[in-house]
This record gives sequence, C-alpha cells and structure tokens, in this order.
Amino acid sequence: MTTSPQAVRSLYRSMLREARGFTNYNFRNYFIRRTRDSFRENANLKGEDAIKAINEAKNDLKILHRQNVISNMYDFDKLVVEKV
Amino acid sequence: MFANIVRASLRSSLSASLRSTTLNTGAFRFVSNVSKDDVFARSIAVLKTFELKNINDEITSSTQFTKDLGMDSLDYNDALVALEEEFDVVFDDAVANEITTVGEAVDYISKNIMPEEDILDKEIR
Repeated sequence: MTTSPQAVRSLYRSMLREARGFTNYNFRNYFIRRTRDSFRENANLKGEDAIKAINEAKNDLKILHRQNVISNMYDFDKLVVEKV
Repeated sequence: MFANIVRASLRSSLSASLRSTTLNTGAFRFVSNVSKDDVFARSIAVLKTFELKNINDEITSSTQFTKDLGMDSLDYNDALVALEEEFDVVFDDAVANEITTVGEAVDYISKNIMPEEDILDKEIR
C-alpha cells in the first residue's frame, strides 16, 4: 500500500481525467468539484486515515470510470450555460 | 445491387485505411505541425483560467507552477489535466511527477501532440 505523494497525485490526475470525460455538464462539473474538494479536505491526513482516504478514492475512481462509460452512452441536450 | 454497393464502399474504405497505414510506416506516428509557440500560447490561456497568484506577471517557459504561480501540488496537477484536455495528450505518470515549469509541460506536449483533426482527415483521405 503506497501513500507516496507521487501515487496520490497520480490518483488525483486519474480522477480528474475521468471527471472531465463526462459529456453531461452537470455531472462533469459536479465530479470535478467533488474530486478537488475531497482531495483538498484530506490533504493533511496522516497514517491510517490517509490510507483509508486513498482506498476510498481508488474505489471512487472505479465508480467514476464506470459511470463515465455508462453516462456517455446517452445523449444529453446542452445547457444554456455551455458553449455549443 | 445493394450487395454491390456495400462491397464497393467496403473496398474504398479498406483501401483508404490501407493508404493511411502506408503513410505512417516508418514514422509510426503522425508528425505534429502545431508549433511550439502555439502550444505555449494555448497553454497560457488554459493556465489563466486557474486562480494564479501573480496573474499580471508574464508567464514564460521558466515559470514554475509552485513558486511563481502560487499553485500547490493539487492545483498544478489540476492544471496538467486541463492541459491534457486542451491538447488531447496524456502526461505519463513519471513525467507528470517531474514537471515543475511551464516550459517542461509545453515541451512534453509538443512532442506528443497529434495534429488537429482536419489535417489528420486530409492525410487519411
């Protein structure tokens, strides 16, 4: 189990990549925001807590990937706030 | 009759794909014709969408994400992913962990960037 800063950064990038992959505006922005907020919230965790948070994030990454694939099977109308 | 049409279209698409593979033999990769200056200018535009410490200072290739732009490790990894999306490249994990300046990111991008779609299309046609 590695908690090295490099591994965490790589996890963070992977999660952001998945989050940015959503075509639906609301999902995309929610997941980007949630990823940023949760990593920032847990930035100062140490020891056991850090490992727990990282494992949770790894789980979330799997969920994110799966939902990304499923969500992108459907077509959503663009919202008015989006650039067409 | 329909079978003929299908066969003809299959043949043309097949030959098109064959042609594109022959185009690539030797090179293995499309050579990018996006200039480094373009990459640099677009990178700066992407970076400006983030909250930067010294927003008015000019960003040069030796600008450091953490020191000069006031980003922490989460911010600049965020920026790297934004750059990935802009240029449709993926930073290798080992590389991304080493990048400290804007210039390094731009170098990596210009090495790995694919040409824009319309150029790619033309080559395949």
